[in-house]
Amino acid sequence: MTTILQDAAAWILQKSSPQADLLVEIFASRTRQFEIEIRDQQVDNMRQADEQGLGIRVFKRGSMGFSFTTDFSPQALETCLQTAIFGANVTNPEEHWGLPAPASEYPQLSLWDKEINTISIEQKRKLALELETAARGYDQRVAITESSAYSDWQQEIVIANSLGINTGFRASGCLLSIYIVAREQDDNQTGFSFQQERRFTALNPQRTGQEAARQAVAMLGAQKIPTCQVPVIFDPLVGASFLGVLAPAFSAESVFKGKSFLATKLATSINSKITLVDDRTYQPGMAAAPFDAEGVVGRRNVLIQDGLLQTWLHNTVSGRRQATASSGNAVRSSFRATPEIGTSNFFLLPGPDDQATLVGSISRGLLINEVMGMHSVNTISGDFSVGAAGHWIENGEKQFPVRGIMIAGNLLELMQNIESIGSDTRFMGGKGSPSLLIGRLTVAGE
Amino acid sequence: MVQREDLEFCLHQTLMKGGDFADVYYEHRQGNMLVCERGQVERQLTGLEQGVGVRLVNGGTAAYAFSNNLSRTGMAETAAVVRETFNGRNRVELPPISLVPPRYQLTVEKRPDTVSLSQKSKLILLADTAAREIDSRIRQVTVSYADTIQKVMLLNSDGEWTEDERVRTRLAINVVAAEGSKIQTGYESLGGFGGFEIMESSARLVADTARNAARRALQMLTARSAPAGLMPVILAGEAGGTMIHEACGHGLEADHVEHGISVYGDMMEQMVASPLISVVDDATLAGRYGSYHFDDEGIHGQSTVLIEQGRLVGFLYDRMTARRAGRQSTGNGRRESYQHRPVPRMSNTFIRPGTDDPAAIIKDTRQGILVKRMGGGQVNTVTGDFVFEVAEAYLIENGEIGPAIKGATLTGNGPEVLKRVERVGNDLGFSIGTCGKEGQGVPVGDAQPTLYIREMVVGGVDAAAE
Repeated sequence: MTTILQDAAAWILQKSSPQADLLVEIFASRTRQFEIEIRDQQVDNMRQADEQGLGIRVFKRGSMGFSFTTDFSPQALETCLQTAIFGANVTNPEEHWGLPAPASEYPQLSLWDKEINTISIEQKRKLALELETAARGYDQRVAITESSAYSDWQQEIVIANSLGINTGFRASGCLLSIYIVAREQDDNQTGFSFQQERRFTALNPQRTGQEAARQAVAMLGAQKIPTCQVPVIFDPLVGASFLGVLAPAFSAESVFKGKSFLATKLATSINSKITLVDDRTYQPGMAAAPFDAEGVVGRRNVLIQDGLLQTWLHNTVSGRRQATASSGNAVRSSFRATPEIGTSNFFLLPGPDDQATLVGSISRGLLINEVMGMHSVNTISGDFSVGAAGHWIENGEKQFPVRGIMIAGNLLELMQNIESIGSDTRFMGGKGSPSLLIGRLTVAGE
Repeated sequence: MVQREDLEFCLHQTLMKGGDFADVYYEHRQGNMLVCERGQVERQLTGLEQGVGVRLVNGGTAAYAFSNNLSRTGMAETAAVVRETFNGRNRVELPPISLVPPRYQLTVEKRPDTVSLSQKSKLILLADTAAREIDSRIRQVTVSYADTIQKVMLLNSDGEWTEDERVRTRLAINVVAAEGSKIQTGYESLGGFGGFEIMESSARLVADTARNAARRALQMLTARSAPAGLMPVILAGEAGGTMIHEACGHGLEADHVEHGISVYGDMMEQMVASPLISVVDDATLAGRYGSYHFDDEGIHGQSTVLIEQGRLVGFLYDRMTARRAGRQSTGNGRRESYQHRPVPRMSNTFIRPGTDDPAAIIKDTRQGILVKRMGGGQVNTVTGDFVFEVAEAYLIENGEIGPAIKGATLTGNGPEVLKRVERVGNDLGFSIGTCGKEGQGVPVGDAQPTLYIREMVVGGVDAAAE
């Protein structure tokens, strides 16, 4: 039995097959989402979405055209195909454009929670309520819920191309997230926590709610500090945010276009303490899939091995350009986009010490729990300057909370200055990091 | 395309078990994007998307369903999803539906669907050449052009039917300059509510925009590191309006106020800024990126004064926040697409120009930094802390513009920074952007005159500087 997506893809391939000079690829997806948001133990919002669409990529004499549609009627699919073919007339030919051939087999991954459609709205509402109760009940100073939410998603993806790729998979996930405000007289501080899982039964609202509350309460009385240059520890989620802005530098496309600050560092040692991996088959990560956005087999790529920068991330075209294979790193933001190069599950291998041990090793420094303005990081030069909040450390102990400061530096120097990697890995989407101790960073304050 | 009768059917289905309010929002969006990289048009994307968003409000709860299945069966299913989330009451009779005409026209002269792909290609190639020609240290130029025609139709249980067509066109140029092992980037963008005429409004506009991006990248190669710490800051009018968008725009959205998560929440009628500062949000401005005829709940766009000579006088409301506050919506209920729920959003937000001469403001400043271009930013509305990036800036030394600096992001606290504005210029510079909130982005414009701010924290790397 085939799905709507498979039928649409097959129809397009069949329509285009008489034109021998065309290479055609269809990327189709159907995504269903549910969300329930609670505030003060009342349901604020409930939301369900059902979206399907497909994008057709066409190669004609080495030029690429692309068109997408959400309408799967024969007329609309025909128009979409013709528009993509017409688009190929405007773009310039590129000798390395093309499509991948099929794989002999794809990894078997378990990404779909078959219980997801049996869980009632009532059960989901209950979880969101418990999440809020756990946070508000942690301390009487936790005064306001910005949002306490449960959400889940299911997705089906189908990729088919005229070289014989015809594959698909299903995945699902669920998420608890909570933003609260702790208040003491005129002082308001925010706290945030989340939990992402494949299986509904793995969600833990008590632990997640309390974590958000603990964070906010710990920030009460936050002060500014004078400008200084000190050792800094990144909390795992801050580390994960930094991995997010580091990722583009590993793209073979960025390197080729002179847009990567790592370009001259291949086969050199960055920092022997670091092993950095991109692994689409790593199931605990939310970006796991059997294949990438072109249908190339998903796999583990070790980008940095004990400090040695070994390889870039490739898709089909970048691989051909550098006479190597795709590394299975084609990604698309949605069916509306053409495949670019990107990470899947992208994480640092952990070290031996927990965060408390790292904190204990610092005589004067900062633990950063939160950053602001990460989208302004210059991923090409690697320069960053972002707002931050956290705790001042003196004599191996957290002394008082700090906010309204900025940390600045360069991403390459940041990697070079990592002195210790913690054991406490956390994932945010597909990015995973433990606590990181950086030897020295400029902190701008008063 | 879906017809009004189809939406009426959907609305009837939604209200079959009762409810306080319902609306059905249909969106049909077509867009084109062209990307020029390495001197040639590499990529072309065209897309068509349509879908419907259904909302049902009962008491304090709202339920939403979104789908792009637009058949009658699909509409009935989508309506059923929201209808079934509440325990039914009796069906609501709809009043007769009547069309609400717009109050003003945002004109479009050259619709993007009347301009050929090859004309658009020529434009971006022109931008590419202009940027590259400036200097041999320019290594990469990426020019991307995008146009959208978004048609929306909305019906609600008050009997209102509104239609809006938003046409937006933009161009963005990213330049990479390199010298030895140093790489730096420059960026410039141009766009608004309108068609291809935006790109042709003056013969040199596109070329000059591209050259600005290139010049910025080159300047960063030799710029010195920005200082770190507290110091006077002049934000030039041409720098764009990111500061006001972050410093108070989000904090004045009524949902943040209502939930107790805005630092401005309990400051109505109080002085929240210097008396030199007045802040307005205006969706009616011709040609501006954040403009529209109706918001995404069918309310007319309008001009709303938020801060009048330093005093907080207004918030930005959508239907639901207005209803709960006993006020009228200010026409700021916006959504990224049919897949998102409307929430209070900014349109075009700006600080009114004052009377000071911008050149005199610089001359009178002994030391500090001059920001000529801001990038994006972010804010924590609870504490009021915000950051924004600086794309082009210089040290000011004894009233003269000194060396260029790089690597600075500025941070401040909204009410504190606005109170520290000591001089306001008589100019006004707009920038365009996409504002993100709750996982959805909407096009916005923002603007400010040249401002002198007594002190802000500059997040440079150079901690030794004073």
